Amino acid sequence: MLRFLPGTLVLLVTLTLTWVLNTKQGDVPPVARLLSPYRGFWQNGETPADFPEQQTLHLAGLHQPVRVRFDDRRVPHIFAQNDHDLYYAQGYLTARDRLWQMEFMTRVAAGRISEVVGPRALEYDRFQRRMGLPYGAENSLRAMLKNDTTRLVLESYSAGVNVYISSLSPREYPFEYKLLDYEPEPWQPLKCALLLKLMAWDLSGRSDDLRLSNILSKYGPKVTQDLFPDYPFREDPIIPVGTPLDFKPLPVPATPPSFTAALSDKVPEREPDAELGSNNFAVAGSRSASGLPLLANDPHLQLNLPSIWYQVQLHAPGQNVYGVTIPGAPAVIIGFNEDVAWGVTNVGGDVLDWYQLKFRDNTKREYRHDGRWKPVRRVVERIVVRGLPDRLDTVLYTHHGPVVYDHDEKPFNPQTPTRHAMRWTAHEGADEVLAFVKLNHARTYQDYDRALRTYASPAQNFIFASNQNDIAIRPNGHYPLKWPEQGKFILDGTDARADWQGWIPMTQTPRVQNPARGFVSSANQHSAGPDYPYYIGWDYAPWDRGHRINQQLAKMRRATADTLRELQNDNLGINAQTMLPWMLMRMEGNKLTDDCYGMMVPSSPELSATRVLQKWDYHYTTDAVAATIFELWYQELVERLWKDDFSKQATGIEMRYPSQDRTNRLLLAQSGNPATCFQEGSPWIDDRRTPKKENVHDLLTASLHFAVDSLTRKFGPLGPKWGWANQKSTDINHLAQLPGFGHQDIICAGSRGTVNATTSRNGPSWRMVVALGPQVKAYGIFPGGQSGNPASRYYDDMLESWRVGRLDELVFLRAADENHPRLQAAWRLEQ
Amino acid sequence: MLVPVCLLLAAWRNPSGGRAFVAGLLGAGFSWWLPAAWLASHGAGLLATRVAMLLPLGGSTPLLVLVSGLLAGIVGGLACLSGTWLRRAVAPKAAPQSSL
Repeated sequence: MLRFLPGTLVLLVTLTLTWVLNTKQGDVPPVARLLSPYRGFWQNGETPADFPEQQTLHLAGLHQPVRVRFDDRRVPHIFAQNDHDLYYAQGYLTARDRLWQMEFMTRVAAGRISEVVGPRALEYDRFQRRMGLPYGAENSLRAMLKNDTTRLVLESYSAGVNVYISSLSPREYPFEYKLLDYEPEPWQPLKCALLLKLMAWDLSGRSDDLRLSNILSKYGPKVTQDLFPDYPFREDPIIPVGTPLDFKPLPVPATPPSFTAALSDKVPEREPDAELGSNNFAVAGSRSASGLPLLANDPHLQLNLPSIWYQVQLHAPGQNVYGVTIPGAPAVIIGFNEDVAWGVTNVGGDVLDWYQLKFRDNTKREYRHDGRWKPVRRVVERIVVRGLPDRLDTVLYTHHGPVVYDHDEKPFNPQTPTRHAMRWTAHEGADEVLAFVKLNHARTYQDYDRALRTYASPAQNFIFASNQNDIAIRPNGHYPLKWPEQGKFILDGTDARADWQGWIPMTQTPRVQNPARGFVSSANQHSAGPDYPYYIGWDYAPWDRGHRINQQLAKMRRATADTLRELQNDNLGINAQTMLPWMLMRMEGNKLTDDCYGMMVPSSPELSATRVLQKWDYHYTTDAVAATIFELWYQELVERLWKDDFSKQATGIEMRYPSQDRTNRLLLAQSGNPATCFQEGSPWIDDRRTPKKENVHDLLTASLHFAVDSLTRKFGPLGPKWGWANQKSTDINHLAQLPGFGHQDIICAGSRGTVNATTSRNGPSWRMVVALGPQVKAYGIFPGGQSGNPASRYYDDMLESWRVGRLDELVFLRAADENHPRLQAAWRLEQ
Repeated sequence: MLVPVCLLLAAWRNPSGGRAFVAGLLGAGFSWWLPAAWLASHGAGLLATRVAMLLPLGGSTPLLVLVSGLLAGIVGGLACLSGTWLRRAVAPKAAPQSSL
């Protein structure tokens, strides 16, 4: 028998090796399957023959033939003879280009990533479910399916996606399925709703209630009101102050007695990025060369590949619309048709509140509310974990919403207070899809007005322009009817008066149509001025972008689409313009010899840095060295100002810093009187942790030294390497953070506070300019491409144009057989 | 598929151990090297570069082609080796020194 041993051993080794190479081992993909030329990634290549100029595809379920033209950016222009076929074809073609992305994003929203990657995503999945994203999606789906139009749209779209999925063999699965070793699953209308909830989380899921409650407990109402005011010192609201109301406001609920929430010591780990924002603006015909309006929109989101947006033209009886949508969401979200154009930016309103609960006992089966004990609803979440048994998680619900964390374990997002129920507009059922479908069909301002009535969350500033010379903007969505500051702090969950008391009527949301100034705009700043009768929120984006946009729009005469494109790419830093002269003056002072602070040593790097700053025009261009120095200097100054009073590190309590507006106001008020050696300044200036009493000059000197020293260590002596693009280092990463599948260190201008709001990871994810007219003309670009296939040149073919601020003219067809030099393929889809 | 084919071929032809391994390595290796190299120049080149950065192989497509074929080659070589050794275990005297 021994003679069988060598052969058997080698055979065993062979079989084991074969198994190991064909099986996912932890995070390592099944290497042999991935690298096999017969079924692995090599099969995902794309040649011109894979995209024929002419072809007919036979797709089960189509009612009538559909024609699709593709332009040189691979944008599909879909011509259908009925709405069913239109959305079916949109689903099919979107899946053809973006299947993995759209499916993965819905898994993210639903808290189902553990199914793909195993236990390391378990806390993430629990968090998504406990935040109630799937709960909100199910509520929205119920509302959507009640409407015949929305039902048709969702079901047709899903059918199209599913026909594509069922046409695939494993060899043809998109690359990421092979890498992560799983299979696509059938698409359902629920997934469309999940995508909307994911957007709602990104755009309205931030909450500072916990931090503000802690500040209130530590410093009291006077300081809190002073440092965290409800309306900023400098503001240029979306709806101009003085815009007349065309409604009689409802009475606002009475403010109940103040409630002091328990202190909480949680540390934020995950919450939506505060830098996400957007711009939109439109000028009236009185300001344009054509005499008809122009409209621009650029939503700033995290920049990823495959691209966040997907361009499409949808043509069917009653509509001909072009624009972008999120892969997985039917219709067009931002776009235009022959008569109107619209766009969106985010509203920073407070639509997510926390209620501190009182349970009857540790079983947590009843909670106190309105003088009674009420039952807690328990929902069991089953989380499928790859390679392990399913995990069950019981989530408690009160009438407010889910109790995100109900016991003392490590929360994934410690921003979320323990034993608090969450109330969030994204949990309410509403039909946002219908709003977009109606906007796609809109021909007049009245159509826009009607379309927005079913749109709830995430609240958006819907801007509008038509070829009937109407322009308008409306911070639109469901806003709870609140007493002033309701939900700024943690609310009393036992008091019925602290509940949301209904909604601001959809006809009374802030709005303006054809304002006298001849333009409308938004950049995430306050929706309206103090003259608006309702409280919507207190914490909005700094005024920088909004103010700059309005400044430029007010100067516009005979504007063209290119004028708006230039404004989208504007790099002037309003914050630098406001603060730098003061910083330099305070540094050098009028009396450099005053002995209360030392002079900068001649030839010191700090002095050289200030010389560079003095010559700066405040533009965040790619090579601007001064921009690099200012940003670091200002950030460090703010840090040194507030750290001792508001950081967890110094105080042991989770809090936040005052806003940029309040910080600047405090700093600019430091008169800098050298005669008193700045000692009469604000008490916040002093660092409580040191025996010395610091003044503003100390802070400026130390922060400048820190900035210059840090930059010298990073880039070497002051020189061109300190250029802004180098310091900012914009990256566009693959959604799954795959090295080699994104673009790093992109040389591009702009900063978080400029109109061109490009930061290290966020930026304009779609730039669009539309010139309304008898023949609408539109321009657009996004940083990526139409294809989600990393093998395709259409994966990132638009990136370079985006980087330098160019726009493509968008190919807008009036008929399926129209000739256009940029059309490259014509397909036919039929039963 | 690769394992039984290599194993049976080697058992049939019954070469020496060394020859069996080399023949399996080259035979199976080329069955992946050739199509991988062809696909790399016909549409999959860009993706191959990205995958070669991910693995990481420095973004080198030729290296990725080499590694792909080596995987198949090693498995093929071992399968051939086990085939010829098992054949010799079953029929030790019928051992013509032919190559594949």
